Amino acid sequence: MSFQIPCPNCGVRPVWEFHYGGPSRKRPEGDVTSREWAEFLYNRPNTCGEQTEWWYHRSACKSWFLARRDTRTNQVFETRPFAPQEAVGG
Amino acid sequence: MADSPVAASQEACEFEFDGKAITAQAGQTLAGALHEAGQHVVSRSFKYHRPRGLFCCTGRCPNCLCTVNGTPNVRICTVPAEPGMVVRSQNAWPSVNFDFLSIFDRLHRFMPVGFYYKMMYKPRWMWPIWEKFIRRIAGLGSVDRRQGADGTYDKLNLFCDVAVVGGGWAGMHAALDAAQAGFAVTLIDDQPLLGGHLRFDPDLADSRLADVVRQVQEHPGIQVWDSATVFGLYEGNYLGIQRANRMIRLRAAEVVVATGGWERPLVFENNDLPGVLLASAAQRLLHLDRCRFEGTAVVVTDNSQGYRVAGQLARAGTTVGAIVDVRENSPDKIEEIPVRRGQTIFAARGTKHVTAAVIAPVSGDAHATLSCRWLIQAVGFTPASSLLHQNGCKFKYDPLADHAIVTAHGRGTHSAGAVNGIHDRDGTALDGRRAGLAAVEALRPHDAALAARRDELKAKMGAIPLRESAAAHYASGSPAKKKFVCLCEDVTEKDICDAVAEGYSNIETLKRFSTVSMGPCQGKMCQSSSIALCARANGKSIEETGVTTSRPPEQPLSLGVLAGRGLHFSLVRRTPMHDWHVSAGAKMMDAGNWKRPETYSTPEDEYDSVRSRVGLIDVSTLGKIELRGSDVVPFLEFLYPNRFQNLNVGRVRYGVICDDAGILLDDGTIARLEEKRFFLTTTTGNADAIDSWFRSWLAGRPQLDVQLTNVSGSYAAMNLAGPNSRQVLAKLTDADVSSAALPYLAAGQLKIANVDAVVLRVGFVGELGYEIHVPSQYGLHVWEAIVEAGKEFGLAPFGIAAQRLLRLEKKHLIPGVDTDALSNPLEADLPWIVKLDKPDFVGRRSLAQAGERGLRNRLVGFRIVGETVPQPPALVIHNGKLGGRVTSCEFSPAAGCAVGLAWVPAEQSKNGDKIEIHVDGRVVTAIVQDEPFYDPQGHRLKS
Amino acid sequence: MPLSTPPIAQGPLAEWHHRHGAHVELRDGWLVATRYPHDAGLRGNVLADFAHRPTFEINGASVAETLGALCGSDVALRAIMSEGGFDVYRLTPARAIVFGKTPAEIQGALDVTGGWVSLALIGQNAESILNKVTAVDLRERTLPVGGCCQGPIFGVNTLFGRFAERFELHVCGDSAEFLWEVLLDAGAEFGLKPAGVDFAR
Repeated sequence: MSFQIPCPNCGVRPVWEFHYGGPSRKRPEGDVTSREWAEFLYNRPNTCGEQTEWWYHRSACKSWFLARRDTRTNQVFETRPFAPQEAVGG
Repeated sequence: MADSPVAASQEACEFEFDGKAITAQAGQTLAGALHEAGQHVVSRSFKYHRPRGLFCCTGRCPNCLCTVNGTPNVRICTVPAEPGMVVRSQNAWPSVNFDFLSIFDRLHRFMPVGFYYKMMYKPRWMWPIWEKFIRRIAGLGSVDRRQGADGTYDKLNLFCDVAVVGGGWAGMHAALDAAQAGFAVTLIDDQPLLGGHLRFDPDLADSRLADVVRQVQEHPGIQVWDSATVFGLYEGNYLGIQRANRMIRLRAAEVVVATGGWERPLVFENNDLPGVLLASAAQRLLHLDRCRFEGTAVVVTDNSQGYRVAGQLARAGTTVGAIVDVRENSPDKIEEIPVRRGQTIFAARGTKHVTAAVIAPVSGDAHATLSCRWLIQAVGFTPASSLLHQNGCKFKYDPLADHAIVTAHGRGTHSAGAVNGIHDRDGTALDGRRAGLAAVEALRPHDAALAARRDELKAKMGAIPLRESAAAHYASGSPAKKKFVCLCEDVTEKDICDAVAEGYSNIETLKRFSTVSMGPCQGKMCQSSSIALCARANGKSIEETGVTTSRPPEQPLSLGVLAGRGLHFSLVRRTPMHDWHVSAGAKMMDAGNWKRPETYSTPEDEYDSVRSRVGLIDVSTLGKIELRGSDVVPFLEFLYPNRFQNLNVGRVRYGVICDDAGILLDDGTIARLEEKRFFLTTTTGNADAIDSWFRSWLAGRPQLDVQLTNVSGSYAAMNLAGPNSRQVLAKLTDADVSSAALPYLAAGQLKIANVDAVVLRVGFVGELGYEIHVPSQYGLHVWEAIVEAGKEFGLAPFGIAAQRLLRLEKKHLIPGVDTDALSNPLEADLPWIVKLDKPDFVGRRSLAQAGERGLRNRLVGFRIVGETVPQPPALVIHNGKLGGRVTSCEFSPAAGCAVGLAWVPAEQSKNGDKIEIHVDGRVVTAIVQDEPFYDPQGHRLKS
Repeated sequence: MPLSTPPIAQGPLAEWHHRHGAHVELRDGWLVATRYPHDAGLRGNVLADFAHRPTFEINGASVAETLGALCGSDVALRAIMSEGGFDVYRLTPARAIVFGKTPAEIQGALDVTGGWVSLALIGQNAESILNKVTAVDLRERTLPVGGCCQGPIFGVNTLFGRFAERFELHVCGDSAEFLWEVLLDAGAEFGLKPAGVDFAR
């Protein structure tokens, strides 16, 4: 893997400077059944196509941010910091 | 410099080949010099030990692999001769000219295709004998272990806008057009000089070649890397390049692949005899190495290149006996050389060199034998498309051109010239310019000037013809066994047909079973013919047959190039007191990237001084995080299962961190230094992971007023522990360090040895103790001050080994050692930490569920009466089955027996329960113990 | 040792300098390698250790405000603001590092002097030397003079700053000796030599 990701702070960098944090998902809040909780914990989506996901720039600015990427081609369409009005991800 | 490729010798020189002195003319390659000296057998083949001579002369085929100055598998056709070089042939004993193992050539019926899968494994007792024999004869070349690394391997990281791979006619034009638009271009070519095949085809080259080469070299926007091989084109236009001993990693915004073609050999009987050459090999030897071909040559061709080569040979003094043109009606003509149209090569005759060519009509079996010494084949090129394949380009087989054509390029990738099947000289230039422009347009879209130039080019290009013609490449019906498809692995046409008949009919399984295309040339010589044969044997079309996958490296490269400089392999991290430890004679150990003292004297003595006097350990490697802001408490309440509402200023608390599945990730201390300022420690190994974990939760909660600063490197830390530690500390500070002023679990900010310090009264080792954090620049100063002050109290530094035992006696777990990816704090014997009455926190739901479900396993302390000390991961046996495992175990001086921690089934985890531990084939009984093994009430800790 | 003795501060390379014959002297309470015996004859590329430079970290949402108070205006992302005697590196919208002595205490900044080691790589081959050890794009058009960026050198998270005649590399003290040796090794082909701070100033 040698595709590049534009870090919102550092600019375009190779993927090995980053850590993948999984797709952005809403963490169940309030009353949830055990089934819903288990779904959240263990049934991760394995999207074939575009998804919004967390990345961590571990070798540089140490920021977590969101990226929209095509999992088939590794094309990264956009990256941005998390905005408070969005669903809270893990 | 390390990466300067070998410079051609400016004058004639002498080198050694298998002990024989050979003279090379100025600038000649080793191969050229051997040819001139009449040494036409340069190696022996892999399996049958058949004599092999120069064949492709472009650094592709396996025939000229030799050991040069101790380096095995060097292609001598690419290495300029230097005075005193020592060249040895490979795969031959005693010599290439007479090789005993050529007996294999007559034993081929005992070595059918895939014989190594079928033979030698029965009877079993024979295998060690076979193995010795196989190891002796298998493989190519041998590494000279005495020589060692020459220490000059190196790496370089570069960037450019447009990378052009291949400095031939197409590549140079692409580079020029891209550079003229103002972009930074890097042109990489594997030859010492630019120009591609025009360098050795004087009938095609005119004054424009020198002109274009000069333009490229003088253009300030073009960086040329000659003698450099692109071995990989990776995702994101990342190029791996080898240049002598240096690896260049080049990141390009756009890539133009102009790698040209690989000349294709024909498959006929004895097609591997020395004297059978590809046309470009003959041209390179003629024009670059200025060699002669004495005697008679026969040229087999289906295109105009054959006629040019024949003419060039004739002009150099060779008698060209005939041009055998596969085409019935060809437009090409040549004077004074007989042309036999509609015929093709059927077989070569000779033992160690060609003596005659047998030719036959393309359809039919009337043979004619032409006496000759050289058999030159000029039947076109296969696109050198490995890099395009690697980059995910899509291809489609074109029956007219008889090779695959790119139909869709990978992102940011372009191709030009012969790799697109374009061989016409002017067409190649236009195609190169088109690709260069396309690359530039991708970088600067909607540019009217670029668009205009592109349209202008398009108009000029019209329809560029692809390969001139593609004739049938096989002489019909020869049943001979020695028709080699793959020169690297000695795979014959019959082998391929047999393998298909045995069921290996898919091109990928055929490749693995027969090993065709798996040798040093990686299919460059054999891919097209093996696919064609596979198709024919299956009765399918070439398109249906498909191609095998090309992967990096495109050309062989030595492991040293991939490794780079040894010094750079692994990061070494040192604490501010590192040099002190080394001078004190500490035995250092690796803890991740860290160097840490394992012990200074013996772990037993160090244990003793901590328990009875006072010890000092360097814990600077701990992760340290400072949190400030008005929302730190709610944030910590959310991240930890612990409670923090009630943590007062000046107090410190032990805590563990869990993930949402309730799994224990790490432990550490949380100190509240000020109302809105907290100081956290993590374990050494998890420092970065916990930093990232905190940041991940903060990233999703930007509204929280929490400022996180990783201060791991800013503080040196040491743990002063033992009954005398208070007296030592008191000597170094004016502050009150009495138990009243600084009780157990106090977090103080005091001056120690005149340095501002954070002092945490925690007791990992179970004694009165102080974890002292000071700014790193004063780490050594404070350490030395403590050591000095501690002298009269019997202070000794202690290392990791003693600490492991000290903490084990207190039953303190180490995350990642005593816990794993299935451990939660309830089962890891830390239920008091989990406050399920808090609102939501990370892991709460899972821990609540785990609590309701009941514990399945528990981490318990155990002691063993007797001498046995089971080493982790000794297994715990429960009802005759695997029930758990020991995670830590040491002999405890305090308990007088072995003590440890183990995971056991919950129903066997009560105080006093007996558990069985499997040790060296027997079972020992251990007793579960709830209390720590040392100072169970914690009197010493809290004193 | 009397409690009033002022403590001696030192960077992680102090011992290295001493071992390699540098003249090490006490400056502002720090052991500093002020010169190497070969300094006077140096013409080419040099590497010097400025671990003693005061370093402050500013974190949080109010960084812009703090920098405004310090430098008169906010500092752009990935830019360096050089004021009299100190440099402000803006790393993210919520983080800045200040190297050097500031005229007044910076509100809300954390003193992290001991955590960071600043190295100066000076000379015409500085970029070529760095290209051997890092895959971070340091071309002038990506990292112009007065610009900064972060990235790894063999696993060492490094903060790069480009000045007119030098690169400044800031790393965590625990990796400083490793990086120092890596740079000297990689720079050997360009004649890179260690130098004292008086020479490299």
